[in-house]
Amino acid sequence: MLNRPAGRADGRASAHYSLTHRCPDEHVIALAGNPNTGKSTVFNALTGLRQHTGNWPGKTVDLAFGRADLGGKQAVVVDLPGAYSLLACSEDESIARDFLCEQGPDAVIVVVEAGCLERNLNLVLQILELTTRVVVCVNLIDEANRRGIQVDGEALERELGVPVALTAASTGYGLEELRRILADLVDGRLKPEPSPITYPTDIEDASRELESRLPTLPPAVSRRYVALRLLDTDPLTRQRIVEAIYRRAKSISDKVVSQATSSIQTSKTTMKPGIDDVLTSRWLGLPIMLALLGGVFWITLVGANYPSALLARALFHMESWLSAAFRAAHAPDWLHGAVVLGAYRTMAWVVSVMLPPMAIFFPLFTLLEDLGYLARVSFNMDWCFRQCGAHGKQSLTMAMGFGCNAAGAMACRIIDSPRERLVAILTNNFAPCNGRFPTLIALASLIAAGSLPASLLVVTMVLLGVTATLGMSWALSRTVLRGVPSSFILELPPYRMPQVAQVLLRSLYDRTLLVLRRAVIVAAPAGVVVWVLANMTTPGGSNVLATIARTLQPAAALMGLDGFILTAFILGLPANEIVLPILVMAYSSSTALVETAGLAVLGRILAANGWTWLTALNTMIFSVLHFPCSTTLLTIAAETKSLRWTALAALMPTAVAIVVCCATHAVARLLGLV
Amino acid sequence: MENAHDREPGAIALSDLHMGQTGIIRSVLATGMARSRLLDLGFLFGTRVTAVRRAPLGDPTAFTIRGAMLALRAQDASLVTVTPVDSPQMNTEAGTGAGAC
Repeated sequence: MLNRPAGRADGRASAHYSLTHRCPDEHVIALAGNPNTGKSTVFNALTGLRQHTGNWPGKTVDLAFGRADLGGKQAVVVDLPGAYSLLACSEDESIARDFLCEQGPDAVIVVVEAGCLERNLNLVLQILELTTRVVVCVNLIDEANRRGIQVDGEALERELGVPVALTAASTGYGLEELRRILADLVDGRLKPEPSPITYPTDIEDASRELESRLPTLPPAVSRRYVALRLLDTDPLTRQRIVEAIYRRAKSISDKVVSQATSSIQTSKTTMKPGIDDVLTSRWLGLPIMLALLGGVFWITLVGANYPSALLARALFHMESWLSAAFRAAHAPDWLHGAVVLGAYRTMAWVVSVMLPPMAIFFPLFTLLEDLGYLARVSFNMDWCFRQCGAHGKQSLTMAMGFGCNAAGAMACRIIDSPRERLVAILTNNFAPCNGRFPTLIALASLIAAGSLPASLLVVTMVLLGVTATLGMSWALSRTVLRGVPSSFILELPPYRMPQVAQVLLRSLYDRTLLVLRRAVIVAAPAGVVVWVLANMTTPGGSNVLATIARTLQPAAALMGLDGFILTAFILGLPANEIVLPILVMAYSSSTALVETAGLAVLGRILAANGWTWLTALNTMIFSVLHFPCSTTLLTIAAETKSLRWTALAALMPTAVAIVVCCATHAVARLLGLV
Repeated sequence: MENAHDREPGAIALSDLHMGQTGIIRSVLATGMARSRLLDLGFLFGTRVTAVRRAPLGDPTAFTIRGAMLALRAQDASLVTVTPVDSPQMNTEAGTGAGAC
């Protein structure tokens, strides 16, 4: 399971490694906890930048590994997916449980939220039935204190029988203590002896009876745990077991948590009532959501302008040096063409036009997420998803898709029901990902004068994507994936001040590295291929690229595009961010355009090739709706384990894109707009 | 769907709580996966749960339970029965909440 090839989203599959690759004497520490407990912050604080994955900043959907320094000793920390319970429901929870059962980590950190101890203790008590080498990390202690909640760490230690560290991971408070406890745990200097939960007598008797009859189990697996899981397949027993665990959780929580009387009233019914009264209110909730989305794009557009121009100038300056160097070395023309005009130029395009918007958009998005706002978006939008027969959490996976559709498709594991999970996976591609936003932003700024109208145009495109998501979810729920929506519970975490500096630094760092790596791995080879296609002549006398484009021309014309645009989308299958660079190169090859530089020249190149505003609009629409990139398709294949669903994931959006583009084109022509 | 009133006098569906109103959980009528999920999150006999707010389009509704805020669709909340508790906070938002569904 750990070797899952998991096309980690953003093309980071190579960063995955299995636990078998660790040094033999290295300790393994698992990090478990409910969602929204600041688990990722604890992980980051323990491992720093020495992590081996990180899908788009912050969130953990697949397993992430990092190295932690425990006072001179190294340990591998594995960040398990957030889980409410180990009596597994969702795919994510099964992953967490399987890891704890099968891998037998040397220590387990269970992160719990200080302000919500009772509910969180449910998971702690369940994990204690699996392993005793546990440290409970009571996180967000600062936030709880501000709300008048005090947690007595020593009392909690006594009640649970395992070490406890009170932490505020975002400020670093308590982490030294946590490291020290971990070092003692993995060394065996500390051997916790938690007292087991006592279940009703009949369950205890049955469990003991079963235990004695179980076959030999792997050493990491507790016999009592297995016996209890066999018993709880009976729904009533299951309920009584959960009740017993919660009774214990409540009795512990009553003993260790004290709340200042003045704050009981406010904290009981609401968390920051003022903010939610506005952000999820009947009249303002949805308009504010759109305004925030628009604001994020506006900042991205305005902010990306200058660095984009600067990068373009620097990189294309370098191109002329490179060309000069090739000339000086008397390199053959084809070599100069393939390396400089093909590989380098495509790379330069990706870096100058694509990198700045990504580096701005992502931190902003992550900030909204860390603030707790995305859960509110899900809360606000759920009604729409329910009407379409989809799961409420699909709005979260859709939001993840804005980062990367491969990550989005993988995030669908948080959806319990297989039917709704497939609906979410198949429609995730309609959320334009970070590879497509720069294309949308660049084209929008060509059509619309001024950054505000341009942002509105991008928002419109996002809404088109959301509409397609809802529409196709509806259609799927009534055809191949027929069924009614299953149950849905969404946690609305308290609003939290995000760690602005850390988010900015981390995503800038992650994004930059990611884009640079993809520029080298994907864009450069694609550049060579396109250059070769554009310069290889067919018997007919024209180049291969133009021949392909001519073949596609009739179909493209119906959609308000041209053959070159369609060719660029097809050749851009490996990564959406190279579509525009490929297109520019294709045009350049046929129009013998010598000069190329960033965004400023883009408009001229496109206009010279007969683009109207309608061509640009249709290209944007096609970009939002068309087939997913190859990384996403591979992820979908891995997630669904089915070629047919993968094929549908490619064909359905393409069909939608063709229909919508044809319709837009036809309507515009009918109305005489072009 | 089974009507809560028939089985437990005084009990109403969780989805029928007014905004701001608190109830004590009597039973969880949901089955299968939905039931497991509700149990795991602490929807158990005797637990206090308070309706907090409805989403802009009228569904789902956010409840606080065991220190957490959880949103449930009416369809799922109707499968949990509660005995309403008269509390001083009852009327804070009752006016706006009642009309929403």
